Amino acid sequence: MSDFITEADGLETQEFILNLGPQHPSTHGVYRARLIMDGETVISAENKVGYLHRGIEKLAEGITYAQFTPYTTRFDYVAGALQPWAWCLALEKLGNIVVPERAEYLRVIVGELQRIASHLVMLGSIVLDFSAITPWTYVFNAREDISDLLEAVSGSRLLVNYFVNGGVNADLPEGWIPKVEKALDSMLKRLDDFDRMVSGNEIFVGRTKGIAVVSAEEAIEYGITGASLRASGLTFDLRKDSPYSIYDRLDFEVQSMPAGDSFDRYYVRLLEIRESAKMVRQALKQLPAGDIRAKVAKVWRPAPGEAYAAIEAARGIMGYQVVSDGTVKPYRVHMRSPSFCNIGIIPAKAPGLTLQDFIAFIASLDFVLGDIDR
Amino acid sequence: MRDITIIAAAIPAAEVKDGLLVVPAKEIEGALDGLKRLGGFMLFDISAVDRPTGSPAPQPAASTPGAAPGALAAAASAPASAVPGAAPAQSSAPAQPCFELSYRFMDMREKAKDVLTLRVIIDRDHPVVPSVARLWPAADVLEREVWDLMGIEFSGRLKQERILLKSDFVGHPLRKDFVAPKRERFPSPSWDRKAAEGGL
Amino acid sequence: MELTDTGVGLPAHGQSEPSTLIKGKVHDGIESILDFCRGNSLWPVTFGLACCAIEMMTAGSARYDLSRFGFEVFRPSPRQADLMIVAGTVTDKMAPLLKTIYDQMPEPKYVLAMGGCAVCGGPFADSYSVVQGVDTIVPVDVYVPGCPPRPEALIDGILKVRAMLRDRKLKERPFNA
Repeated sequence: MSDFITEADGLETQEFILNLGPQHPSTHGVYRARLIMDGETVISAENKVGYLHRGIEKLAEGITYAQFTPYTTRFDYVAGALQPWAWCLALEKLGNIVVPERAEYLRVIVGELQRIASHLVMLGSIVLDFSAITPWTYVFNAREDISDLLEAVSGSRLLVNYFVNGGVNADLPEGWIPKVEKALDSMLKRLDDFDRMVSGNEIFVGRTKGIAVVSAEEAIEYGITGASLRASGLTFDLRKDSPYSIYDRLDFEVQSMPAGDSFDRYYVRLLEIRESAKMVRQALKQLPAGDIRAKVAKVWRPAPGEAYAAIEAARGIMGYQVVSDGTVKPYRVHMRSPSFCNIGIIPAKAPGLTLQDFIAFIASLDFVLGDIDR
Repeated sequence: MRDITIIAAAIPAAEVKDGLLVVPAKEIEGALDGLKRLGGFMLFDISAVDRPTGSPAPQPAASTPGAAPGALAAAASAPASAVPGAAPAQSSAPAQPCFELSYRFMDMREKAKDVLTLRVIIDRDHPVVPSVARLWPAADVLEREVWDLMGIEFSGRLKQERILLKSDFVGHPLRKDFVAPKRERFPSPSWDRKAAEGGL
Repeated sequence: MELTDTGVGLPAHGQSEPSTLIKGKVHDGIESILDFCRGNSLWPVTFGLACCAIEMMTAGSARYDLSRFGFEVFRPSPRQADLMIVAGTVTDKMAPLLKTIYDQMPEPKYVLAMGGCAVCGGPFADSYSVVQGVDTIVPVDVYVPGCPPRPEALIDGILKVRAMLRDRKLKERPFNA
């Protein structure tokens, strides 16, 4: 049909520029892509970010170490509880602080619950980009139960400030553990429903299978980390490969998918949720009694020096470089955020995709703008 | 991770110091090329630290036992000292204003992963290093960020524009001597409206 | 809305005492009916900036159910919306775009500043790139503090917009860019 029109009638198409974002429902924040389009096909794409750049690395130089901890949750706000972990790990390296065993377990429990909540948001928002609202309500309902649990331990639903330098903020409230079991059960049931509804859906599969395939070599070259890397057939996971905290005592498999297309990037997160639920259950079983926080001075002055710590956050490697000059304030804080590197692949993979597939592609990368722009 | 001294031996002019690979600024291109040829590394982070009063002598470096195999090459290039404040000259020469630029790699070939840091000390008055975005595509966005916030120029790039800040922003905010432009606190139109309505 | 311009046949403004009275009463009556309807079906523009946007999404989800009040119709286009929920930090780079989106919304329009950042800059007020409150760019009708506010707080904020509409407090807007 299209051949008939263009060849016979001499209709010419024209390239045009399409600004996708920063206010667009499918960009999941204030991300902007400058697309050069030919009809519905993307010719080239360019990332335009920085609409949420809050200058946080500079702010850190003016406040104390303890004051900066709550700021860290504000970057990757979808997975708030995991962010201070990397920061606290760097501080603990800097000051040679040993975290009590119970605190390590609590960190893993809360961290994995947060990872589940974060992946649920990703699953919900990728189907929302296909205008499917019902599955979105399923996963958001499941996420609500987890938000309640996080609120019970930390006092906040979304930006969970539970991790502090040397341990965690508070012990578990009474009756929390049975609630976790219940919430995980109902979450997994809802997730199974979601899986049945979405993963075999013809429209969803048609728009994601074989779209924007990222090979393992490319993923490594572009510095992609996290679930998006594991969707390319690699089993790279810092929780397994460079175990921090007590991850080496838990029995879990690193989930990966072979193809590296949009569907695998979606599905590997679904698998990770089930794995995380397993880890939470194990950690709850092993949970020892004891202190929840090491003794850290209120006015904390680490020795001059430098520390770097990286964790496997919900979106990939979250790294903090902390440079101390011996005063109460950090001399320099640098953040390595996973989303910022993960979007580097977009200009390379976008050409040739249709606009709808491009939307599914960026949704499958699961970036958070607070994490990109900091 | 592969042993850092073995990695250092494969890279021209590299030296192991305090668990970091230290290379002089003019050798940076060769060093990153060497790492690429070794294979199996993932570049995942570039960061810079501003040191207007010079780089402090790293304490643990003094106690690092033995000399790395690559140290000989570095020591040979040290007397030339085209780079002020370069690592080998730190103990004797007075500290000079500089930037510490760090490239961080993850060894993807070994099962046990750790962070490999490649450290370069560059002149603060003339902060230019060659870009490695062609060798390492991951460096593309990271270099743009370092230039945007810290003002270290990466030469040989196709495109050097601001990535996080708006294009007409003046200065590089993460430098220690950056002064934020003064902002008027409350030039608020809705406040005026409330005042007009008699409230407030 | 000027009824005299619509050809209803009422005398022009300021002609004589009784006709202005009629005009005022009819005008006010129609306006209050319209405001009552507007207040029950505010359509927010889908405009998430940062953390608060997640809570805004949650407010629309099944548990909090914004649609109980008729506020759930989030429009992707500002031209179809009458309520802008500024959910998150406004930076210098975003500020002109935010103003554009506000300008694209048809009258009457209302703005709700959600969260500490939109109210006054929040924890990032001292930053070199953050606008200290969205009310420095567009007029704000309701402020919802919190970092981030709970979905209940957001719903309460929108209900405040509705209450103000019913009390006719938003009738006059001197600042209209």
